[in-house]
Amino acid sequence: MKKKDIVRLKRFFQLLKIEQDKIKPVPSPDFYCRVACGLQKIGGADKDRSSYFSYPRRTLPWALVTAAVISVIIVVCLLHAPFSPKLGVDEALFVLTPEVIVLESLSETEYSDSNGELFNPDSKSDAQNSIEWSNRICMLRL
Amino acid sequence: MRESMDMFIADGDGDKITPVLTADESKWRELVRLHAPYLFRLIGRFFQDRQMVEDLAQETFFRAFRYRKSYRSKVPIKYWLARIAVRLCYDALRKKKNLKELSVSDISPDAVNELETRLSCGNQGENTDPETGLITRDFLEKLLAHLSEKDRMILILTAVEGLTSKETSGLMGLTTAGVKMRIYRARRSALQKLRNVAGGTG
Repeated sequence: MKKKDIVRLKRFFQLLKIEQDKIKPVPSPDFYCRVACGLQKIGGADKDRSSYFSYPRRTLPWALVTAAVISVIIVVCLLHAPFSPKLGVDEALFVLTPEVIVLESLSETEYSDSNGELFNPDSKSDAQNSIEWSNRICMLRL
Repeated sequence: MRESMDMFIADGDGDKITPVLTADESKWRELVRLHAPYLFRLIGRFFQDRQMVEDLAQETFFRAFRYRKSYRSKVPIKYWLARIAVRLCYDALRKKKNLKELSVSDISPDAVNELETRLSCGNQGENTDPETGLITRDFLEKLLAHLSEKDRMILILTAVEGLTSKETSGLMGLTTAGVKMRIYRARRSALQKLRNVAGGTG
């Protein structure tokens, strides 16, 4: 780069500086008020937030994840409730469909004793049992 | 590092300001009063629009307040604020370029003649009319518009604001050697543009 060019460029930047300094922006009193209000807001928001949600950007994803996990747990509990092994036949009557109740009642009759012979836990006959169950089902449907 | 930041040590800056970075907003108001004029001047080097300058200065203080825990007391607060402001200016310049591409062909021949006269005779203070000053400034900035945002900022920080290469490298997040290389290339490119527009060898 020639010396003449360097001088020319130097003058160019001096001129730019002079022109920029002529219209130098100065902060207005309104600017200080706005900044003070903004700082107060940011400071207040920081104090209100717990350490778990210390960063605003993290709040929403965590809230969504928590809501999703809770809803999944509720759905799983609801689906598993009717088939809980803790429920007896009498309790299940109120939640199972009639078809399942009939199957349950049929399987209950097939118990075997120590000799390997089938026996009925109820003293009533199969015919009596089935009549009783169908009556119960009819009552439930009503 | 500290030696290269002497110009960033402002009056009233120092140990008594450091607790501000972990303390209440009233002390931050003092900080704003102390450093706002400098930030306005610095941001004003890159933008003519007053509203833009105010918005960027405001955002600088908000960002500094939000991330005050990341401040290292080894560097002056003025330098730290300047660094945030320069980053914001860089982002804003990049966005602005996407919206409006500047062209030297928009410049009037009168402005070219005036610039040529002022560059040749070195008489730079004669123009006192604010409107003409605005036109001249616009023209001068358009001459640098062909440079990349980074190069333009480096040139303005060094040649207009008067920072050293080391200080500029710290503000821009570049190495000193990288800044020197960019200054050299940008100067050459600006001179070429100046020759094309103002015509001739002077």
